[in-house]
Amino acid sequence: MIGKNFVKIWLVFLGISTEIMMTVFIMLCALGISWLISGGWR
Amino acid sequence: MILRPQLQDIKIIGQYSGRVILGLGLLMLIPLLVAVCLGEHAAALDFVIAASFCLSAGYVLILICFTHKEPTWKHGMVIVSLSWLLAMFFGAVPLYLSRHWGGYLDACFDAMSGFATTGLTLVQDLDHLSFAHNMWRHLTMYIGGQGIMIVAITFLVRGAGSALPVYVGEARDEKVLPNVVQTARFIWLVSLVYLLVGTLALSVTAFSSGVPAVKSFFHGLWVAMAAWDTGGFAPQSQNILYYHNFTFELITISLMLLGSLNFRLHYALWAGKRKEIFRNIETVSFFISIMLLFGLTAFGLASAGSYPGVSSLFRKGFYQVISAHTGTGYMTIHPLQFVGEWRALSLMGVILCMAMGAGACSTAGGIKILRIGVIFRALLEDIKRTMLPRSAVVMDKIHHIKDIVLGEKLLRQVALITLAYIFLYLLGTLAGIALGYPLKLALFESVSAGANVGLSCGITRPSMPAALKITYIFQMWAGRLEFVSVFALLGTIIALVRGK
Repeated sequence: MIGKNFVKIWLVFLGISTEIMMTVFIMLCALGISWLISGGWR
Repeated sequence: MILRPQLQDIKIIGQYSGRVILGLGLLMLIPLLVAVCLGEHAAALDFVIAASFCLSAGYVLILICFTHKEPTWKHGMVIVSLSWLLAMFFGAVPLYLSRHWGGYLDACFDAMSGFATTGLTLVQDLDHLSFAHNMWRHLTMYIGGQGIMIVAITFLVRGAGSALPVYVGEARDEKVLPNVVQTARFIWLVSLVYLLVGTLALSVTAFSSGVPAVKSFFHGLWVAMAAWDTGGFAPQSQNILYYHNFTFELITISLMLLGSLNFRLHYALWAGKRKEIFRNIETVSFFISIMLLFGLTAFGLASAGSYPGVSSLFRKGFYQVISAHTGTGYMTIHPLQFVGEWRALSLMGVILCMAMGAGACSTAGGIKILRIGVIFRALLEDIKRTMLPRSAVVMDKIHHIKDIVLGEKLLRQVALITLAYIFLYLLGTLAGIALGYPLKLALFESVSAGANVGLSCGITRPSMPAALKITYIFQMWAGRLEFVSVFALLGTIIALVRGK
């Protein structure tokens, strides 16, 4: 029972981490676009 | 022949609407508690009056309309649209009593804006509004984002059978779990987890940047509530610009993005299906759309010389794009900067973001990115088909949690709702133009109201014409409920007048 609940909590933690990583990835991509468009590479 | 609703039908609708009003009265006890704890006596009196009014009206309605019959689909639709209107009328009472709104219509505007998670506001002197009234504004947004009926299903509805019609009527045509009550509980679980995480992160950030402790906690809580529910009410008149804090902006961007995800996707990810994020048509379309529209907006801003650096382009351009695309309406610029600094191309980028919206079965408004993805996929498949031999049999499929065949029925539903949104946006634009506003600004504000976003270019203010306030209230209501239940209510009213 305890093991089953632990797996559930672990999966939820992994799910939340995946979601937060997705938002970080989107922000990094947007930063890249900002850098490209503002001419930061020149 | 139109059939007039029977007394029994009216009783069922009345009883469930009464329960919603009763629930609203009970929720007013939370801001009342805040007022008592913080010594805001005038605000406490406002909530005592408003809660007594709601509790007695709700109780009387339940008594008058008492019946054991359960609602059918038709009743469910009418209950939802009527309950949202009643919630606006009753929810506006404490706002009106605070004297921070110009009149009852202005208070109704803000109540509907809150429940529909829009974020447009007509409040005056927001910076001196009591904590209790601010709590109520954000609570309306939180309840509205979850869905007024989700709250009712969780606490006030007897069984899953009677809950299904009202759940579907509230523009949530996707169930996360087979049982509606379990679905409602899961929606609460996800929302409360992120509310806790968001409040903690924002409060600490605000406190570390010099905001007093109590104010930090409440600001963190309210901003987390409104960001997660893609609402957009802020406790300060300068919106998120007030904090001048990059970390605060990053946290709100994350919360806005997380709040705009489909609850079914949250469930899949929380159940261990992490690959879903790469396969789901909704997340893929959302990512492509954000990047393309931010590229367009950023190009417009950079070519106009508005924000030349990487940092300003990200903090001003990307923030507004995410706020628009998720349907939140938080701003890191002043509304008049949209008129003065943003060129037509950038404004168009933001308008497109607002019009499209984010995840279906989420807290966001607008057409929804799933529908946009389906339309584009169907278009691509049609182009592919023209290149194949006539005898070729093609089975069009999309992946959204599971593989779904792209059939005629699905495409028809998607096209009809998309068309209805376009008409809704046009309605507000026409009203704006008719009342003397320029086309560009009228379109911006109308899409913001219809898609429940809340970004403003300055039209929404207490002095705007009453006709436009009513138009925007209608747009917020119809846009949030995705039309079907609104049509059901209008049909019932017609049947009451003309039916036999």
